Amino acid sequence: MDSPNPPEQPDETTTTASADPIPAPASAPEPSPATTPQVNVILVARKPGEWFDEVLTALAAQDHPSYQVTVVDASRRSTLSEQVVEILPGTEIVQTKSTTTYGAAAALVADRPTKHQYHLFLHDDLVLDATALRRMVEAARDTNAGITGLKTLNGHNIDLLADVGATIDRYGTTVPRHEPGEIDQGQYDADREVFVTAAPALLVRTDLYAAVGGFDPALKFADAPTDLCWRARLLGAIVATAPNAVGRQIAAKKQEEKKRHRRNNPERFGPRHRLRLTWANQPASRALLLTLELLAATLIGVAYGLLRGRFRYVQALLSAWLWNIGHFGSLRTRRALLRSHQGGGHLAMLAWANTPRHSFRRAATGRAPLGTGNEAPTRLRLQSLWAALLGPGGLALMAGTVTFGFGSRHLITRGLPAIGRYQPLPADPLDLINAWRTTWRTTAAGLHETTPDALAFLGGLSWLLPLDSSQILALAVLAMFPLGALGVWRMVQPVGGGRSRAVAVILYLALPVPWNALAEGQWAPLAIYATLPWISQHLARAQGVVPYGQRGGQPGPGGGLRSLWAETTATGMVLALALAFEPTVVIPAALVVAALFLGSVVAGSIAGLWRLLLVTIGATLLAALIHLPATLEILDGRSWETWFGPQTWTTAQHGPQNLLLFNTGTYGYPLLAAAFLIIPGVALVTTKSWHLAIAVRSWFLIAGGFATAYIVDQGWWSHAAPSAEFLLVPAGLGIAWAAAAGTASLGELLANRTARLRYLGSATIGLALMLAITPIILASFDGHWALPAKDFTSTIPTLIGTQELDGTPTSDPTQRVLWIGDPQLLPAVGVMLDQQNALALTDGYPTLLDQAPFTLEADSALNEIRNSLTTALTGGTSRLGEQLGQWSVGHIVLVERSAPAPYGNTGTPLNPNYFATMTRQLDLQRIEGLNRSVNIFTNTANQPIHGVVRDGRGRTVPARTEPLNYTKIAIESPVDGAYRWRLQPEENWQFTPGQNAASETQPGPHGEPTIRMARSATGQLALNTTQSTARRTLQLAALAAVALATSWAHAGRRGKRR
Amino acid sequence: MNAVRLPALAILLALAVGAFVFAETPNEAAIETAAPTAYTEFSPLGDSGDVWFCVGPTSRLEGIENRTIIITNLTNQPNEGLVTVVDNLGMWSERSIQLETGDRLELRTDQLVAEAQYAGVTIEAPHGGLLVEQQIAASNTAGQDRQLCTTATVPTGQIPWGTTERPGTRQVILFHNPFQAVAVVDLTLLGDLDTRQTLDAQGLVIPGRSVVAYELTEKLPDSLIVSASATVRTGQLVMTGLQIADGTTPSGLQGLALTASSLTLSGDLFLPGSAEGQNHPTVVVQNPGDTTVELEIVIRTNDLENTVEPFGVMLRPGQRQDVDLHADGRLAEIGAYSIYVRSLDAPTLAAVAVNRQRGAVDEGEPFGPGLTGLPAINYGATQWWVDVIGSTVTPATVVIFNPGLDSIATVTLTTAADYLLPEAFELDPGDQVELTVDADVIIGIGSTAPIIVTRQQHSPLGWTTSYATTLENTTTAITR
Repeated sequence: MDSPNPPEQPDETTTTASADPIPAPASAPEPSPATTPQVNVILVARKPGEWFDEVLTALAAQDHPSYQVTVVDASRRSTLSEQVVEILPGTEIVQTKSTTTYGAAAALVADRPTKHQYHLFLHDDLVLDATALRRMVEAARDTNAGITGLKTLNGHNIDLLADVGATIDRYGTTVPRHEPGEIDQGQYDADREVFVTAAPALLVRTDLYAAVGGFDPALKFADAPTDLCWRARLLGAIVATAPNAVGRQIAAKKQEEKKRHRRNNPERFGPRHRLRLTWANQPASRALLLTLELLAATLIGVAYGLLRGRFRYVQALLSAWLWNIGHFGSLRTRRALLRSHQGGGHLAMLAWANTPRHSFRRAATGRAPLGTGNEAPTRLRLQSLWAALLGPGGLALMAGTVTFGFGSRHLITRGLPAIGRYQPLPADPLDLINAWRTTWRTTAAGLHETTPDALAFLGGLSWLLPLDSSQILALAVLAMFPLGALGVWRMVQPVGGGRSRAVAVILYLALPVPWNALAEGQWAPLAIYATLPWISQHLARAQGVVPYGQRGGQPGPGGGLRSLWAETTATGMVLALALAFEPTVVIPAALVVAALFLGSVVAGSIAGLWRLLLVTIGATLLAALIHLPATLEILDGRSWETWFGPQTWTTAQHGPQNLLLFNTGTYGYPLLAAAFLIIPGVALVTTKSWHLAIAVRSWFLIAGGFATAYIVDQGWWSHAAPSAEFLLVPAGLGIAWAAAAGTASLGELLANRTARLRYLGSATIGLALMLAITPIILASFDGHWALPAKDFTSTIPTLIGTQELDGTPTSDPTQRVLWIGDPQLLPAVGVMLDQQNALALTDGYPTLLDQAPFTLEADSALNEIRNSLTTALTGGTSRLGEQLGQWSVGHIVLVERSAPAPYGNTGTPLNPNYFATMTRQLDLQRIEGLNRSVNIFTNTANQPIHGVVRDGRGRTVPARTEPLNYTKIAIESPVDGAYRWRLQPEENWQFTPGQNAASETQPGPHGEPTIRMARSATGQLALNTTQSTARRTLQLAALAAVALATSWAHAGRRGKRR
Repeated sequence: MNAVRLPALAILLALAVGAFVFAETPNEAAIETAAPTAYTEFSPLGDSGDVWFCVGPTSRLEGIENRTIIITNLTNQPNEGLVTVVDNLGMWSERSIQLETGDRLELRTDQLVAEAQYAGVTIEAPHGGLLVEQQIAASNTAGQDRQLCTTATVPTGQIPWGTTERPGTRQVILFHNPFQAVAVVDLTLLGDLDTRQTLDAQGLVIPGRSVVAYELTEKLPDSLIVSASATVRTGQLVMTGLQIADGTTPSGLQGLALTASSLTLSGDLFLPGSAEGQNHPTVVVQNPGDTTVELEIVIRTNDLENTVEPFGVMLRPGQRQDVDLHADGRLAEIGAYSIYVRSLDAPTLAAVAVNRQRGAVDEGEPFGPGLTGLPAINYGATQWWVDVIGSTVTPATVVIFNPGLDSIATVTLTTAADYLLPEAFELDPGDQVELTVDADVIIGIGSTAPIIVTRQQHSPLGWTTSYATTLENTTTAITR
């Protein structure tokens, strides 16, 4: 029978190696013609390797009594015939072109009229067991199977499965039944009937072969058997596996494997074959539906491919449609043939592995979880997870998680108290996004400066999640701990095994630094704590020195050298992400780079330093590009010091001893903190080779952290500085890093020493760890990590804007509040008032929007207020309220503790002169009966933010306002007068007159713009956000571009991994 | 990969050692010597604003004939102010005032309030340049007093001396709260027998913008000396003692005195003493602190060779003692002197110099009302203004003394009026001079070192003694 419609006619030449048929083995039973089916073995040789002898020998050794071998030579290798003849004399050899598809090559022989009952289509890399053919034939006859396969094992390790058949998904993608690397335990032997048998050896009934039209010559190697089996099943044939028939798939050399992969690359041919199989084998109506779905998958796949830089895959997706349309003629022929055998109908054959999610993912991305069911990948992951969790590192993580969860229980259930920088989200969380978009916020009467991008993310999260503000905040703040621990876990992965990672994670989690920061309501140190390990990991990888790369040795687990571009983009993205949380992260990141440089040099190697330098510069530039608005602010002249916010740090406030013991707050026991330096110390003294190099670099990071804190503490740094906790985070990271290297090295060293030394080493590390974690275990009992149980929101609800001090609902919920006190205690970021105290100005009670540092402009409201306060404090005025009232300051709050008494354990008393000054003001009224942690003065001379000035004496009545959106307010004047607004920057607010309002702006009594308005006149006040919105748009574009570049840079590597 | 250990060890060790060797020692908590609060501080025009507080009786109080607030514009251009009047009946009112150059505005308190017996007047001078004082005259020629109003409010106050001797005396503690918020006061009284901390004197509420009068005559009757000590729990107050004696007392005390409370407790307090043959002050010292204080009252004469043995006093917590400096004759013929109250222990002292008439020097001269109480202060200033307008009727004595313990003060006197003043002169530590003035002038007194200036007027109608006013930012605490 001829092939129904061969797409190409191979250049066929036939030679016969020997006239003698293959002699049956002597030991084989004498077959009777009635019971011994004749098998036509068709071996398609496509440039086989040196293993081909083995394949032929195995074929010759088959114990099946009657079979004939024909070799289709698609290799065009002159020596192949000799090779075949030598082992299988008398074998027919059919020559064809090397470009011929597997199906077409096989058809050269299979399509001939034959007396054989079966064709056995054989790959050239399969070594059959001596009984394989016989068992396949027996199985075929036993099960009445039309197509019978065998079990293929891995050529390198015959315990592993190589191919036990496959199934197809919704779109006809071939999905292997087994996982890569799966051990043969007979787990697939019970299910004899399969959708597709193992492709290397297919025993097909000759009549069935003719009925289905043979292999589809248009399909490449991989999917031709799938098509054959599918069509056979459509005709009602059984497709089965003979589990006792075994073959061994020879593993080719890497180069040969590459060539074969290129020829049969599923990424390249998968989309084409999917469409072909669907169109060829599905009923028309279903094919139409699936075509539409495949079209959607193609569109998504194209987008995905462009994002991931898989341009060849994109090309394959698009070309698949053209190719299939071009080959539509042959497709019709095959469909017609099938229909003729089905009697005009078309049996639907649903996919076996019909998991739409996975099917679509395969169709769109070309990648999907392997396995025949949903559970397989998950089960594998779970197994890996269990294996990791039950190791030392996993146990440490679990213990850490349990301790952390136990210690945080009240914070999670009751929310985070509003202290320091942890303040509630705005009433409308979307304001965080609006503030990000417009770069304007209400802080200090109106600021036009960038806020950390993470705030916008938090706003979106709060809008989406059904949690209250304090719980969202608690999750955000507490997440910094596991994030940091996970970062260290990943960072030290190449250094050693589970034990060393466990030690590093435990030490990092037990550091007093983040707990002190948490108790004091600091955000920056926590953000650094969470992000610095990730940045450090990338910087270490960038250097590429063992174990993070292959310079100087074999990379550790997860290590390896990526391309410079890939490393730069990845580091840039991580740095940008960290900057989104805390812009000042550049300081500790620079410290890490410096430590890697100095540490490497001192350790005796400069390997990878140029690369590190290039990656650092490149990553910094990329991060600056992503944070374009902030970069432009810096270029516009914003000082780097303004990113720190106000801070008090008197000379020798801590001293070297306290810094070394991380004793900068109320957490822990300083003496026990000495344990943190024991393991790194041991590491520095005992490690060797690359372990020593890591220890030295880590110690320079430790020294760098301590040194910067020491320099600031000694008063040698005259500029703005962050808190001690901030500067000590790098030291803590260095400790964890060195401890990992020390533990890993010690494990190796001690393995070869005496038992006494082993015990001594283990005991030292164990004791140091016990001492280090004791404070954290004790601290976990209170359930809120020493954070106060209550905050000022419950003490002074009036400032939230809900009610007046006497309990009556307030009519102006946005009157401003001036906060004075130690900058750490204030619930908002402000500016320094004197050496010790800062002042902050907020609209009502502070929110997260008031927590970002800013620049104090000379003509700003806060500057005027600061001058007024200074005047009052020196006795220059007794009407401070009148001056503050110009900026609508309704309340002045003097803060002396972080939380209302008796809660909270941090506090800084204010100079009594502050109270005396406020009390002496004739227009301020002290509020009685409040908590002693705060003193509140109400301003009786306050003026509204939006007011209408009635006369020359400045008597003002509030204008009626209605916010139209975040930056647009509708105004209505209740009286005749001059409307004026106290919002900054004044030049950015524009008034659009409505009915009975003048269009001309005139300067008011304090230089502010005013508009003449008649009674009931209307207008709109709007902020000009053109520039900021444009900058944000550019930022998003830059982010997308860098993300795309990062994706492209990493796509190649992932592809190779697969 | 090979790595070396020794260089790293050496560098890290050097860093660690260096960190400890070069470490700064923590700064001790700096004891800031803040500029002390003066009773009166005057701001020149335009520098900054002043707020003056005047508290006292009105003519509706029995024994008071009148009380006048005198506001003087010391600047050479028109000036303005805001007068707020509050009384002990809870009423308050405001009015603006305009003063031409050199204007002197007199406000009678009985015209400012309707029915109240006590009134507090707050004068805001937003641009400075105003000088405010008050004059009180007792009816039935029981005395008079003339005091500068104060620019200071206090969180604590002591009035070491007063008397409720029967019959014929009246002692009232006046609390003036010029601010909006309520103030709460704990008042402790010390009579002849013991300390009184009655419930009605604890948690005494002084409403915002009000005057509260606390009558000691009723609470602690017939006590030769009553000392009052007030602690303001919240807020700031003006606290003044009003003493009226009509001369019918057994001791013959007659006069009227407004005695301001002490501004701060201190271990170094200074008082003008007396020129030869003039006042014979009694110094009353009070220890409101929690610990026993041993103190000395040091008499500092102009003649270095003429030393006087200090008066030693031991005061238990809450105790007070009056020391009659002339009782034992050790001050006889020592000439002019000044007084230095020096604590040898805790700096928790308050003191007042009480001068009273002691019988006629001349048999032919009838007794007149004479009573002053001048609180001791712990500060001096390098610039003072003294208003002696009215001295053409009753000559005024300006006492200038150098309280410093080691600095010589060169004093310069100036006046805008056509009046001859002495040339610049020097004052040794502890020295004092008296200048008698009989012209309606305002004298500026400058000095190279902090000095103290008082104004005294003795007339048949009564005695007055008060501090002059200091220029703002020129006051300095005097410490040993």
